[in-house]
Amino acid sequence: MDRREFLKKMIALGIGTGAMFMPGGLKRMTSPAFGEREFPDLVAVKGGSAGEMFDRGMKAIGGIGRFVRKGQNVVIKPNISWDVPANGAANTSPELVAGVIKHCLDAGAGKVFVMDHSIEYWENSSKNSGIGDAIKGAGGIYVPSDGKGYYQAVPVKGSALKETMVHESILECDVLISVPVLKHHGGAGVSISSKGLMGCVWNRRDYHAQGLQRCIADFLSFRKPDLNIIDAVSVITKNGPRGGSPSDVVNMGSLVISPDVVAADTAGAMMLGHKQGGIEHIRLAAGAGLGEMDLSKLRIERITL
Amino acid sequence: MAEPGRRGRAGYRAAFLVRMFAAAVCLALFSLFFLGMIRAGDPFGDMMNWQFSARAIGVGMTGGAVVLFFAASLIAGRVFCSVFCPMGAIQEFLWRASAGLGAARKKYVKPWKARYLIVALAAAGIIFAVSPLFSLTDPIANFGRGITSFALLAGGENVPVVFASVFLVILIFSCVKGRRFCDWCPAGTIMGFASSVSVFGLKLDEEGCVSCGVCERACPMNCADAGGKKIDRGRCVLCMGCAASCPGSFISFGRVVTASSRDGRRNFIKNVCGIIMGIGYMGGRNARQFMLSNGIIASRAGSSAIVPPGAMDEENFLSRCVGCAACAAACPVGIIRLTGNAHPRLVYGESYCQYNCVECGKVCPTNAIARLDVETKRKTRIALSRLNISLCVVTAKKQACGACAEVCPTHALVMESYDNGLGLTIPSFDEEYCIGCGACLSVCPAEPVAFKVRGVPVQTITPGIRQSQENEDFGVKPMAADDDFPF
Repeated sequence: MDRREFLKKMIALGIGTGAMFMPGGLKRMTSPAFGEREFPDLVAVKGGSAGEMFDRGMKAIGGIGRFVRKGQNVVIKPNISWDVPANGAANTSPELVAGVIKHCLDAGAGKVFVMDHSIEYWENSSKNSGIGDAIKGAGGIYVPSDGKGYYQAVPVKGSALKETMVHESILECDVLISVPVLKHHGGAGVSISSKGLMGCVWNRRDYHAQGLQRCIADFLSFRKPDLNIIDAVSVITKNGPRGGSPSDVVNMGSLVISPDVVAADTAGAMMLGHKQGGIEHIRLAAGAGLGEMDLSKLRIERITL
Repeated sequence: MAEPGRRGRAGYRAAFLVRMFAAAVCLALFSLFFLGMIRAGDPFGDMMNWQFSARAIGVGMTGGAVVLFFAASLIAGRVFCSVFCPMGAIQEFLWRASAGLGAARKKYVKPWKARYLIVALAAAGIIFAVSPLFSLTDPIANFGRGITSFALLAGGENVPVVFASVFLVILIFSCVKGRRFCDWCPAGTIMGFASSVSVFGLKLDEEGCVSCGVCERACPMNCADAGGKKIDRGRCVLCMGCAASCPGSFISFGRVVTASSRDGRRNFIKNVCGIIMGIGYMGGRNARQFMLSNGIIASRAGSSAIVPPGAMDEENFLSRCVGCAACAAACPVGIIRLTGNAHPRLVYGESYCQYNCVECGKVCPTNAIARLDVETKRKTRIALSRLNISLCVVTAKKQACGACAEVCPTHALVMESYDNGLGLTIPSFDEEYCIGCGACLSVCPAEPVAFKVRGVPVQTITPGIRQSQENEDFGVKPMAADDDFPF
């Protein structure tokens, strides 16, 4: 180490130490968002098409680059459960799924997979909903999920769920982005991000047998999405989660984006008319410290296009 | 004769190879079809509809196709058997392959007279709608059942082994003995009536022939008779094996002009016309349907088995099903299974009948399963569900569920307020809207399952989707597009 190098290092060390004593310095340096400006915890957008609202909303939340690094493999988990026509409100909008894939690929993601363990026959669901074509068009990979062999049993530290079979793409991905569609659910009350993650699991019947609400919350202790993007454009407000008649659907024309699954679900449930904490599985997840249910504590950006 | 003969023999060898190739293509297509890899709507997806027995069962509506089969056999012999039929092709390929491996080859055998009895039984089965009589002897149905059962067994599914076993026996037998299934195949025998007097066919030059016996060893049907210097044209499928192998080229294909064949042809046409006119008075229905509609006999509909959507009722279904397993192969979720007597049944549990799917009706070659349009299928009740609410996890365990209402496509099942203190909802079932798709039974987490689904005697049309429940029931009011965000 020569004199010049020694001086350089001392100066660098001095600046670094000094920064720690600045207001909030240590906290900021150790937070994952260090090096970025402060972004809102939750963004709610309305008044445009799903694609437009997504582009604007992502800009506000800090861009997909905050969540997806170069070369990382991403799994996108939309709702492709139902064999219903495109934009039938039971599945996520194909336009939004395509938008998320494109943002990830633009940010330099390695591979972008899309998975959902569909409830109705997968081929019809992906084809008739238009999501299959949207995935292909945007450059994503639709992974098969219609056989037990694609799933692995994993231990879960939950109050009801001790073990479940999770799709291998979820186990291996670097980044999980949940892109649910907001809707009413006859059993769970609402189906948003955390309920939608049941689509990562093979043995869903066990959830119902062991306690649906607790199992939904328990799964989050195994894996939380890194980003939640809620499609609230056309929303099934009754007879969910499949709907069936046009009178089941209300146009909300909105989108909610948040890295906090509990906050995102709370916002969605409130849009469906529930009180904060009115849905059991969201309340249980918040109680287990898996996210923030009290939206008054969060920084929320509301955008109208 | 020597010079043109050699050229001729090369020509027959080419014809033989072309025919073998065409048969291989048909065999491959049928195999893919019965493995579920070719679906209705794909190119070749409608091939199934050109089965002989299947067309005969659809007599009246599709009887024209049977006349076409007869006309084709009357002109050029049993080309159907040597090119189109997968059961014939697979037997012949195995026989030719195993002959190369040194398996014994049989010589000419006299026609097996018992086949006429089998034809009579199959015809009676078709006319009086006793399905096992025709479904167990039909060549393509046997092939389909065999392939489909093999595939299911290989996949570890619990299906009857009888069809795979029968198929295996036929295949093993064919390695040594040639096309033995064809000896008693009713479709082939019926077409044989026409081919024995056909305009074109194989001829043997009796003056040149030295009865060397090469043709006998090249004939998978055992119908070339070197000693008697003749070919039994009723059984000959025009495989061209004999013409391609005759050392002196004394077997040729061409117009067969003899006084007896001309008379035979005329008699045959007269007889066929008579039979068709005789059947015609029944108005295109089989005798059983005719007797039913005239009140002579009573319907046998009423078992509790669940038959595919479009089967309408047990009566129609049993009259027409050849048991070919095409529907089982086409079902995307694999819930159509053959029972031991070769009738398809719906088995719920691992999956259920998909709301927008009409694949089984699209492939059924006999209209035993009608081609429903999707709109009609969605309303067609194929069975009826029963809910035993005391077994439901909501009542038994006081925990949220809703799995059944989630998947119920017609909202015959919906969730209603149950215990507001616990925020629970409970399924409420309105059987008027139930189409019996089995979704509820297949997802129910209760042990034992809270649903039972039973077949209905006659498939009927339901009102469609039940309009129900307003959100006010739950005391919530969702946001509208013009409202501000509620947070």
